[in-house]
Amino acid sequence: MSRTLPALMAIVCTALGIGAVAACTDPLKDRKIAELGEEQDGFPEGPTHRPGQPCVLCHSDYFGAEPQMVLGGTVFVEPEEPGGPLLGAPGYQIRLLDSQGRITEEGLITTNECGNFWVTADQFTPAYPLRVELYGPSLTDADRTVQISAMSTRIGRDGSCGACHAEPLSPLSPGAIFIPRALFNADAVNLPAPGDCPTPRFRPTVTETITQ
Amino acid sequence: MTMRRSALCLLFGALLGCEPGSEPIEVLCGPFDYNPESKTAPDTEDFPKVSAVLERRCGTLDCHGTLARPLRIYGAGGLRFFTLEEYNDSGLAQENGTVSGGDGTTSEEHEANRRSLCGVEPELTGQVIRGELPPEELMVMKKPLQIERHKGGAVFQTGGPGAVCLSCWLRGFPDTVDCQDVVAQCEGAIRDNL
Repeated sequence: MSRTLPALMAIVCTALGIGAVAACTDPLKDRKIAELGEEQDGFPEGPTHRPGQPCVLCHSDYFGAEPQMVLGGTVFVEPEEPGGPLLGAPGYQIRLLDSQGRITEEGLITTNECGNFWVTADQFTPAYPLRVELYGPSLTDADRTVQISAMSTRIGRDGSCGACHAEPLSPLSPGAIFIPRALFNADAVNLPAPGDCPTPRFRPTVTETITQ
Repeated sequence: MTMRRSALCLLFGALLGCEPGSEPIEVLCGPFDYNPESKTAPDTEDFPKVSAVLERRCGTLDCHGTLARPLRIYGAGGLRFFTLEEYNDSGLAQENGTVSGGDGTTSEEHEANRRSLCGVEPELTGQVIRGELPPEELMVMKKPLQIERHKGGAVFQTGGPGAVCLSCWLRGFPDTVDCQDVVAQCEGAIRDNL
């Protein structure tokens, strides 16, 4: 993903001519992409960039960022105190089950050092809705993987976890994806040190003030 | 029928799709002070069972649980029916439990969902309630059954619990074979049956 998304979008759309006109003419998507802002200093585009943001907005055939994803997001560890710093949860695992009862070939998808995870279009073409489960090391036996939680609702159509899971918790968002502190085995996970990963930024949960 | 409408129908009957002399179709979503005794609008008493199906199958935050999409569905696990103050102050929403994943679906949310469902095609919904049209003629049935294009795909199967639940409610829970176990059908549509 580019550091200057809006500018890149304009250049790509102009340079590619008619073909790109059809691909870059969704003002709603363009606005959502622009709202994500630029890359953070010291964290160029790559597997650990933009934790918390809606991955598939850019990693799609619309914007064209590679790899193209069908699903992507970030898992965090619940802060020790409400409002505390958010740290990605490395080594946790996600299991997808689609409406035809299929799972990804790899089975579980593992979060990287900043908590990001994704499934590419080459790996899996799911039939929506999707059930999502989160797995990680047991509290009592770090070598044993157990289910931490399962999404209480289904993913209906949007593979960007960050499109719904944004901070703060609000009438329009269930908040970020957390490993609850009570289920977090600190001895089994090497949490990133502060500054090792970009500061999580979420899509705006309130994009504009409603007035009456 | 007003004089103006009659005149328009006489002049442009074919184009407007109305017959001269026909009465305008009554809109049957019902007012907010809807009287359940009147039987002129979809049932409200049992609607929470139907609403639960809609919340589960249609109302996720990435589908109809969003402010931007028609047939807006509210629910505990999705979009909440919030006040202006709660929208602009997430702390207040958290205090009040009006957050996605917070307190259970409220009666206001049920009513908003009922009106949302009815409001997609209010005139046709009225005809379904009166038994003049089959429920499958409504967009709210055609889309989830994918008889009509639906970006969310086939959410219900023909004859499946979700379709039966919604169809029976739209018809006022008639004493027919397909609606005999409608509560079980609605509950079945909520359970995880991916």
